[in-house]
Amino acid sequence: MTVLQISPWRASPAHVRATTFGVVGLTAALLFRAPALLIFVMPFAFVAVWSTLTRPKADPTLTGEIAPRSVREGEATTWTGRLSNIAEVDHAIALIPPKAWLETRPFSGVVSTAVDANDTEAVLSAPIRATRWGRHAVAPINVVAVSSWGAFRWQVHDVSYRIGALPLPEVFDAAPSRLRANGLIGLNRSTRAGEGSEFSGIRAFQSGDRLRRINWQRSLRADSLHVTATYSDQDSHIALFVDALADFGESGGIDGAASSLDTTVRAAGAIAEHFMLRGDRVSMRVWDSRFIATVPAGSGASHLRRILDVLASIEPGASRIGPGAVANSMVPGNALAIMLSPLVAPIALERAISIATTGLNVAVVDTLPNDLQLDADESTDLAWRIRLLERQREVRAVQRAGVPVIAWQGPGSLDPFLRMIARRASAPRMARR
Amino acid sequence: MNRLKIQNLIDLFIEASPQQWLFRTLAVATPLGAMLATSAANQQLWLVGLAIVTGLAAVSALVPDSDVALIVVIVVVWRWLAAVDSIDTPWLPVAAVCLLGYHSVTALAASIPNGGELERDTTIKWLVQTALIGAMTVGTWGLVVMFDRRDADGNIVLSLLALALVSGAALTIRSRSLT
Repeated sequence: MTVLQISPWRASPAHVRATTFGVVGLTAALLFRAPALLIFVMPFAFVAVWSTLTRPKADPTLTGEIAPRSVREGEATTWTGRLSNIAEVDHAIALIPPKAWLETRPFSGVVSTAVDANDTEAVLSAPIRATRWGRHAVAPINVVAVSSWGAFRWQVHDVSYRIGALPLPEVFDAAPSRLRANGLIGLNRSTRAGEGSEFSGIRAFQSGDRLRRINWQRSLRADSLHVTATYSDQDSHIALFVDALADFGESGGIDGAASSLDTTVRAAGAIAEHFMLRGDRVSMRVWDSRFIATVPAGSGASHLRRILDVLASIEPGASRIGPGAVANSMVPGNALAIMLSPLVAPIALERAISIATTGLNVAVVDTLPNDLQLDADESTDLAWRIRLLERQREVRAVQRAGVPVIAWQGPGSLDPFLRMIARRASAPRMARR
Repeated sequence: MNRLKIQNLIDLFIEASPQQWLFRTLAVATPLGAMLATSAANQQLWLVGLAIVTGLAAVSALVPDSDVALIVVIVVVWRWLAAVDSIDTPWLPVAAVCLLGYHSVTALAASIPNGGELERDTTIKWLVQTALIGAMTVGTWGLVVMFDRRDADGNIVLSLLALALVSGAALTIRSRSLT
């Protein structure tokens, strides 16, 4: 929080009015012996004297904070301003100016509090709701203290607040699938026997086997010790590629329509959350308009938070990176690659093909909104239509290359792709002898 | 008036809170009440003056943090002084209290942004303060009427003392307001 002093105690136009009319009117009433004028002037003179006698002598001190600084989109945080040293203050007001994707309650952004003579502190607070993911700078909050009769005002700006709104992952689920497991722990069944929960078979006891694995019924029948063998549980590596180079469609925030970037970010969050809850490792690479952000593979709640933080830092805008920078991005070995893109720029599709040629399983999730409003301008509209036709051709070409392109539809979007991977994993393979 | 100013004016209407609308209504009604009190004391309805005051009061209600309110007060008082000679008419304190209410409601409206609402405690406090000053005004009127009925001669010493008191008070107010 940084408090910028705008003005110390200053007389308001109301005080100038009361003083001017009071003094000039009283003088005129006395000089010209006009008792009627005296009656009109007296209330203004009383108010001027009252205001002057109760003029605050010292500047109040403002301590402001926004807590929590990080919320999920759609959730609210609270700005609280505490004014101390408020002797002779009548009431205090705070104005939180309107800002895109930030809603205040009350909607006007104005909160006020009455100050009594015995109060030592005045507290102003206003909930602020983030209606879209991202990092939102709060406009300078204008705090004003007012003395009796509105005669004097003191004003500061409370600045330098940023609210981080983490994307609210869409509802996502995928049918249980057999992914290519290559880690040490996790929920995916390995092809190898080991410590796990899924039954593999019963075999003779070997040195090192745990006693709790001994199958006593089988051991009694066979007259030698046997143990229940299991498949080891292992995790998979999901590599997410997020194309945030451009945003298409109108975003209405959490309560309205979703733009392509909204869908991309929320889908990426949903997929990451889903696989992390299963114990898999997730890495992410974001092609933003300003930078390429990389999150290495990891799992757990803190890693999910890290991924959501990086997604929240995306700012839609014109691309400033070239195709080379995208193509140079590293692809982890044995990973299941999922690319989220509106597929308007051909970079994502080219990258998907290059990943697929390395033998990795890769799927492209199409996040372009179905109800995309084309431009009102005839030429731009025509250009858009041509580009969308080209896009269809490019998508078909990618599909012919063996890369599935899936339209994002929430829960179950990736099921056909995951089933395809499972079939591939269980299919007989040619082996050299 | 350019397009931006018109838009700002429209925003002033759209974004105003119900409390601000109440303040604005009172800011138009109170000087109008003072003008009607003048007409009642004078037994003459000055329609042009009513229209002028209503227009000025409406402007000051929309922009309460301006000097238009001072013009409204001056016009109303000038009208009274020009039209009514009597000071023992009860319409005089009525008009004075109306102007006090106008000043009070304009000052209160100016202390909060257009869409905001003040807490109930604040408005009640201002209401009590205004009623107190209003009562003092009526008391002053009673004193003035009493002295007027005694028809006492003017006292130059008392007048000079009063002028000195007013000048001293003015200087004190000025120095305390500016520093």
